[in-house]
Amino acid sequence: MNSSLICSIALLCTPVSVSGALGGVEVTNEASIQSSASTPEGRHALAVAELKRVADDAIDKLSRTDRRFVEDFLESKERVADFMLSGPCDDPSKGLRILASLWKADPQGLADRHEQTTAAAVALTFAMKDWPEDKAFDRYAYFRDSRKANQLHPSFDALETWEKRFVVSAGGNGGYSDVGGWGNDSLVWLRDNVKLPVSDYIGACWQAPYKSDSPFGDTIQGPKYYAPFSNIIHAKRVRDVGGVCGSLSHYGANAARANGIPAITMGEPGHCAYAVRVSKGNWQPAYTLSWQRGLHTSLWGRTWTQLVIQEAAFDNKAAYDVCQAHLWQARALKEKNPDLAEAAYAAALDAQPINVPAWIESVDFLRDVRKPKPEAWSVIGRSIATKLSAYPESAWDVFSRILTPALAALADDAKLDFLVSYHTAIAKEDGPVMWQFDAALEAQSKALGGDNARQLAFFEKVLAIQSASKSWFAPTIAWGQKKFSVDPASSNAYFAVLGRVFSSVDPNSNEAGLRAALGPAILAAEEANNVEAFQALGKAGSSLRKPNPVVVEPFPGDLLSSGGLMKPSTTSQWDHPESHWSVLEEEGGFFHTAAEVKPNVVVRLGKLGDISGIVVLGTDYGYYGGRALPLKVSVSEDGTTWTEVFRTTDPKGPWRIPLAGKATRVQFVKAERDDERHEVFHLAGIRVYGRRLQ
Amino acid sequence: MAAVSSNSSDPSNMNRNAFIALLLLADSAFGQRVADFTTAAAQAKTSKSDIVVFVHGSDWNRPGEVVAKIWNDARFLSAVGSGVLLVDLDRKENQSDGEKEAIKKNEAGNPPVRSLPAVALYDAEGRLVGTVSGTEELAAAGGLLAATKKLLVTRRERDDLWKAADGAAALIKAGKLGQGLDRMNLGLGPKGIYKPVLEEIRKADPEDKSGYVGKYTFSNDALVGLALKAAETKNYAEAETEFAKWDRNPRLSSTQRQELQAAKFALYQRWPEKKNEVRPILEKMRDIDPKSDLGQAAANYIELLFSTKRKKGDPPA
Repeated sequence: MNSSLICSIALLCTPVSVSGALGGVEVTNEASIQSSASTPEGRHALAVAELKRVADDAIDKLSRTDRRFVEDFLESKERVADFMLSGPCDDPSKGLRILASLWKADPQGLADRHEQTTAAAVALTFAMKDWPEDKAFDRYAYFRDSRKANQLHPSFDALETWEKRFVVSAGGNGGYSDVGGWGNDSLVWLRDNVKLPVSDYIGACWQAPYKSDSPFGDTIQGPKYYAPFSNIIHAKRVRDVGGVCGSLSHYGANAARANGIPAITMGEPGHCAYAVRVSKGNWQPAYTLSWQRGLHTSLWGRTWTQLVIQEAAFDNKAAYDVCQAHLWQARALKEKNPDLAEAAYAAALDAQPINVPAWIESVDFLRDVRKPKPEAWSVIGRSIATKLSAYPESAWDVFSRILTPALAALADDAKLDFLVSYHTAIAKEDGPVMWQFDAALEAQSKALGGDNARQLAFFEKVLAIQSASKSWFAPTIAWGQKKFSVDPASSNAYFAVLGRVFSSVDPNSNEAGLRAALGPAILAAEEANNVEAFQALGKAGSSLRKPNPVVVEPFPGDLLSSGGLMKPSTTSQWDHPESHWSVLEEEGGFFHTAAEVKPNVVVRLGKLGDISGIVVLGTDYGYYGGRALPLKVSVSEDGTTWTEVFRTTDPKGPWRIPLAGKATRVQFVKAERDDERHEVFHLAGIRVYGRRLQ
Repeated sequence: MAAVSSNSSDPSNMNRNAFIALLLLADSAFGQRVADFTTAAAQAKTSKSDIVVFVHGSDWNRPGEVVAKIWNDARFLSAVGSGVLLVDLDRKENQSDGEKEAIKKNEAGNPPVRSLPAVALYDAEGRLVGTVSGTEELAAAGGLLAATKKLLVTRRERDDLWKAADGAAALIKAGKLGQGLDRMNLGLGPKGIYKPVLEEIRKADPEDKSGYVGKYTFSNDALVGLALKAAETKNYAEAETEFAKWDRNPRLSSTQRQELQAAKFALYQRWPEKKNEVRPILEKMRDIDPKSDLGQAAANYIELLFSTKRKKGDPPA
């Protein structure tokens, strides 16, 4: 057994010994832990034992026919594996009942392997809380019949049970929807009316118009928006009547799922988005406005990181299966034989070190049952951070579970090192997506406790480590800014930390220190497309800016650029990153690129919008004004495909660009000089107005 | 180059220009399949041909396979009639490098459709004339061939109307141009490709006596917004005047007239003195086209508001 993981912790806890029996599988020592999980037969026996352990009472209560089904089912390696090795089951008893009912209703159809995996996926999905058992057959029949009639995307035929769970779970907000909502009638309609190449489902939501008021003037927030259109299938009425982000995202996601393609909806702050799995392991977010996503359907957890890491784990299905088998061993042993259970947990993590649920279960067991010695906590912490370092958010999810007991057990001088070990492990990793890193820092800081000096020492250590990180540097600054700079008593010390970390020439000078610290931090936030950090840092720099608002007649609607992020193509010695934030506001700001060919600035709007117009302000319209010309302005929904909306060689600005009806769905605006000159580029404002679409 | 008709005259008996003319005629008489949309668009400009684009996905779109068979049948080309260029736009998911390169030449001909398979018609100037998308719409149109022929008829009728407009002036010209737009039922087309036609209507009929400028600038969203804004500011009369102006437009489609009534309903619902107008407005909306979705929605709204039984069971939004 590999001694790198928590098996080494076992040695720090208590020695391994004694034996245990799992149903028909004899697990008497570490060797039998390995051997029983390494073969399909052994895993099958362990799966049956686990199923009986969690659902034996329910099996006893089944009717004679259902019990016969279960007995037959338990004999089949493939069918048991479908049910037991396809992600967690919320309620195994309910899942088994559903599976039995599907088998009774369609014994002939379920001789086909395709239908078996569909049935298992339906059973696991409808075993979730609030999903009605009696509707499971209709969902199964929809996918069975659609597949047989060649109405589904061919990739559906190759999906495994766990993948089909992201298909058959079509509905609303991760819950079941009946006819009248996103039920089977909508699925049929979407199947027959929205058939697209897989990647096109990312844009399918826009088949429905964004409308917050119905033709009758009823708001989408009230019950009468769709009520008069009760004659129309819900999917069709969303397309014809419209909706806002929730309806549109469900339209896009359910269109994909109705055609046999895995998709999910997900909540974002004040918004609903969705995602489509365009190929194995490749989930693409759609209509997304933020990295702060709460997945409505998931096997492992609700964050985007969990979706990505779960895909990576299932991509190595053989390792997943072995890991799961060891978890079953551990669960069965943990009361009778905790020593052997600990060995089984260690084996699970050896089999698949990125299996987050296995980590969570293992560290909970160690924390609650094994009570590790103080030095063991450091080993555990390092193991978690190292093995999950490619997924910093997941590493933190597990690390946070031992934070309190570990810090309580460790000597005072070892506590900081314990926390730092996490940051050292993840510093070189960007992870799949931004996450609430600031919340993790806050939790670490709280758990560490102590006075302000101790907290600042923690901040300085983390900042020094993360200064090399493209992803975590800016959020660390932003967190420190929020925590330390408000109180005058700590702000000087905070600026001193920033100054030291950024090698500021004069750490005692707040302004110089802050300017020196903020510049790189803001540029790092821009580079990482971190809107929240850019906003926090931009606001933090307000005292360093001289407001110079140029009054230009606005266009109708909201200032959509406000609250967004801007990224110039380069920076330069003349640039003032602390003034970037206000380029997007009425306040007016400034940026200055280096000399280059086709310099540009890309603005990510604070709100997705239907643009009424753009105002571009130059820094001056005289001698240096020509540096911005010829000025080209383009818009984009995804930041990749651009549409030119304005071009001028007229040096007289500000340039007002009316765009009503011409740029109806925009999240990015780009201003650039469009010629072959090698020259600098600077502007004072890009104000984007219009109607928000979120 | 298209197959030349077997009974065409012997080229040796003709001078060179006549020979080219014959070839062009032959193109126009029998149509041809063209490799990509870029080539077809260039060819269509000189030969004044229509371009029919068939969009499908040969490696994933199973329902499209049956339709693709019809499209690929040699008889399809002759059946659609003369002067038509056919472009196959295969939106495969797994493309070779060569196919990826080739697909770039089809980008301009990728129509905005909601479902595949689909057929789209572009005129000789590369403007979209219409689409039929998805198996349901194609079946409702009588199949691929019938759908294609209907699109071709639409284009011809549109052009006949626009040709008549060329020789007319003022109101008649505006009317013919507007009827041409009506024939396509595309509004002003994707990315406003038919805005120049609207501008011509505007020039011919500056006071919009024909009603076509109104029809093609009508915005249901704007009218609902106006009603809600008027209610907020209690400036009801101004909105009512605006609605009355739209009510006088004879060209509005039945859907537009229904939407106008719905916007008036939104206003009257919020105008205490006009509460008694609410039901007649919904009835008017219903009666414009009782079987339409909006007609039924109006009937349902009457039920919701005036039937106590139904009030309890409002369907959820």
